[in-house]
This record gives sequence, structure tokens and C-alpha cells, in this order.
Amino acid sequence: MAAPVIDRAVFDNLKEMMGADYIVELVNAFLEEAPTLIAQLRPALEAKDADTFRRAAHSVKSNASTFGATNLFEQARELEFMARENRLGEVGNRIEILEETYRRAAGVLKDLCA
Amino acid sequence: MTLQPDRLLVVDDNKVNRMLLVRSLEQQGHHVAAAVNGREALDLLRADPFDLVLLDIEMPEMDGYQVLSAMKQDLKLRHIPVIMVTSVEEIESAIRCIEMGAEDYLPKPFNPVLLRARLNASLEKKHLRDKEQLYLKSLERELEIGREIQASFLPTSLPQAPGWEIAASLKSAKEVAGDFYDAFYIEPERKICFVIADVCDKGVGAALFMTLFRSLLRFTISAADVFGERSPDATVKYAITLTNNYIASTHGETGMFATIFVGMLDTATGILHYVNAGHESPLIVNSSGVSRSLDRTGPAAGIIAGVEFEVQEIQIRPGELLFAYTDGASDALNSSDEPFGRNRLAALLKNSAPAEMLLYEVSIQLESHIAEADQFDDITLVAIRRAG
Repeated sequence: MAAPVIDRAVFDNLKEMMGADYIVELVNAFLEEAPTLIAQLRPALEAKDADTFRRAAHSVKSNASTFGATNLFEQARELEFMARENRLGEVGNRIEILEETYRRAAGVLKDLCA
Repeated sequence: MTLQPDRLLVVDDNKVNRMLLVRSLEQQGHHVAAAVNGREALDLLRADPFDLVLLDIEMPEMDGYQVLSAMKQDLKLRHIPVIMVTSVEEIESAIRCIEMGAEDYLPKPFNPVLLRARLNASLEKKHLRDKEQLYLKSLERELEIGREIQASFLPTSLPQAPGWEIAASLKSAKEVAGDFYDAFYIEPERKICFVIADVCDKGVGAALFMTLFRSLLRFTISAADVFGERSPDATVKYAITLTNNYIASTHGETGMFATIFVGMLDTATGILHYVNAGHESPLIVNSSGVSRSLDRTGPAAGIIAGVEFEVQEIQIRPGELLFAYTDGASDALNSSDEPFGRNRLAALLKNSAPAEMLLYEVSIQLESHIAEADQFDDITLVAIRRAG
């Protein structure tokens, strides 16, 4: 069985800790920042700027883990490691996959906050 | 005691992480400020006092390592505890930060229980250190007050009779000293009383007894006249005897005592009546060097009540110099633990130099001998020179 887009246990725990109102603010902050971070990946890859690439992937990974976005976390982590180990040549279509995973996670998060 | 909320600074370029930490810390009752990068963090830290910093490692421009390193090099910021916020995969980075002086680390995504525990441990240490600093400051203030009051127990100016020069200096080993000197007119323009003394031990205890010895001697010498003791030898004897008896009988159990040289000088004739109560022998220097030494005429004062002190009489002839010192000078150690020595001190004495100049030269020699070593005892020097 495929992993859920958002791990509800993680999300509910976060909601309980932060409060129902604040979780909305947190999700909004994520939806605001994540596209900017993801948009940095392609130019950084073309410029062979492993440092910027790694930091952007690192931030996406960190936020994904906060919200229980398990797939997004795994994919961002893989990209971060590729940058860290100077294996950017192996990125292939992983950015497109990540973008799609993000869209799905963002959709579920919005629904959860509605 | 009311507890002030702690002021914490969260430094993270990632907005969600920043919001999460700020919220969690506020929920725990702290005042929280946030910085989005290292530069802003340092600006905030330099502008306002903070109790703790939660610092992300991965940041553009100025990363966590650079912020940490800048804080550790800044005297005002180096004691603020820093907790590194890292992902579990960054454990190596966290170790590096702890080696650089970070207090602890917190793995992301963070757990509120762990956050509270790590925070409290670091803050508790910080509070203890703050208290210690406050305590040290108040102690320093007290000692400074003590030092100022004690300085007021030394004469502000020394009597300068025609044909005589009197100079004195005191360099204490600690903030307050057990040594003292005194010199004042007994009979205007003619008779001068002078004292050099070394209270056993150093620091605050010795300083308290210094004020007592000094006051008793000054009072008994000044009062001698009132009680009918007019001759210089009787006055000196009266003063040292009363001082000794008072300390020994009233403060005997403290075991405090002083070596004292007290002299009454008639500046018209050069006749000096003195008692040397266990003190280093002052030296009389003429053109061919040290000619006489004014050795002990009784034990140190303050030990045995009722003990006899003998008064001696000598004449300081024109062109002669009297040099008195405390053992802090003769026993001054250099970094190899070698004392300066009485012979070397005596060899420095020239009766041709002005009194002030002579003390200056002796002080310079002592300073260069002690050099990097710690001055372990107070150093007091007195020079009295009769014009030739």
C-alpha cells in the first residue's frame, strides 16, 4: 500500500500542539514558501550550484517532515543527498516528480485546514 | 523571588520552522524574538540582552557555524548559551557545533518535551552564571569601596620640614593592603612622627587591622601630650605600648599582629627616637653606603600584652638618608621564586638621590624583578633624607 500523502498522526499531533488556528497559519506559510524553494532547484541544477540546490531541498524536506508529508520528505531528502555528495548528474526527472508530490501534499493540507 | 521570562532568539531562514519554534517557546512562557539569517541574529544579539539562542545550521549568506563562531569571539555574547537546531541526519554538524562551544542540540522535527528539557537545562546554567556574575560584581564594588576608604587612612600629603625630604610609597598585592605608613607633625615645623608597619597576612582581614593599628598609633601619639607625655622617647613608648596592649588583650584570639617601626624625629637636630617592634631594620645610608641598621627593640605588636618595648635614640646627620621598607620588598619573588633580597635592596640605596627619586628607582627595580610573577605581598617604602 502506498504511503499516505499526509501522515494524519503527525499532522493531528502538530495541530494539537499548535492549536487549530495556528496550524492554518503554518500551512499557509508552507504553501507560500515551498513553491519558491522548489523553483530554486532547476536553475541551481543548471548552474551546477550544489549549495543552493542542497539548501532548497533541505528546507522542503524539513517542512515536509513537520507536516507528515512522507513522500515529499523522502524525495526532498534524496535530492539533498545528491547535492551533498555532488551527484547532481543523477537528478534526472526527480524535480518533476517532487513538484507533483508537492501539489498533491498541498491539496491535502488545504483540505485538512478547510 | 519573581522569575522574569527568559528572552530567547530563534534563528532560522525557514519560515515554518521559525513559526513552529516561536510558538512552542511562547507556549512555554518565554519572550521570543526571531531572526531570518545570521547577520540579523548578530544585530539583534548586539542590540538587546538575550538568555539563549536557538540556531539553525543551514542558512544562506551566514550559516549557523559562522554565527556561533562570531558569538564565541564576542566578549559580550560568548556566554549566551546556543542550542543548535538540526535534522537527525546532521548529527555530525551538531557535534562540530558543540565542539565550537554550542551548549546543546535539538533534533528536527522537534519534540516539545525534549525542547523544554534541553532549554531548561541550558537556561538553568545561564541563570547560575548570571547570578555568579552579579555576586562577583557586588564583591568587586565592595572591595573598591574598601580600597578607597583604606587609601584615606594613608596621609594625603607628607610633612616637608626645611632641610628634609620625606617620601613614601605603598603598592598593595591585593585590592586592600595590610601595610601602611604614616607621617605627621607633632610640633609644627619641627617634630615629625613617622610609622611604617606590616600587619600579618594580606587582604581584607589584614586591611581591617591596618586601620585599627594606624588609628591607635595616631591617636596615642597625638594624645600623649594631653596625658602629660611630652618627651619624644616617652611618647613613642607610650604609643606602642598602648597599641600593643589593646590589640593583644582585646583581639588576642584573632592572632593578628603587626611589625611596626615608629619614630619621632626632631628636624632641628636630626635626633630620632624610635621603637622597632619586630620590623625589618630600617637602614641609615651615608656617602659610603649603608652605615647603620635600626634593629629590633621589641617583639611584633599585638601578640603579648604588657611586653616591654625599648626606645633607641640616634642622630641622622646632614647628608644621611633613612630607608625603611616592609618585607614585601626584600622578599619579592620573581617567576623562578627567587627573592629580591636585602643585600640587593641595600646596594640600591644612594644618599645623593632625592628621596622621591630613590623610591622610584627602587620600585622600578622591584617591578622588573617581579615581572610576570604575582606580587604576593604588599610593598611599602619610606625614605627620609637630611640635606647635606
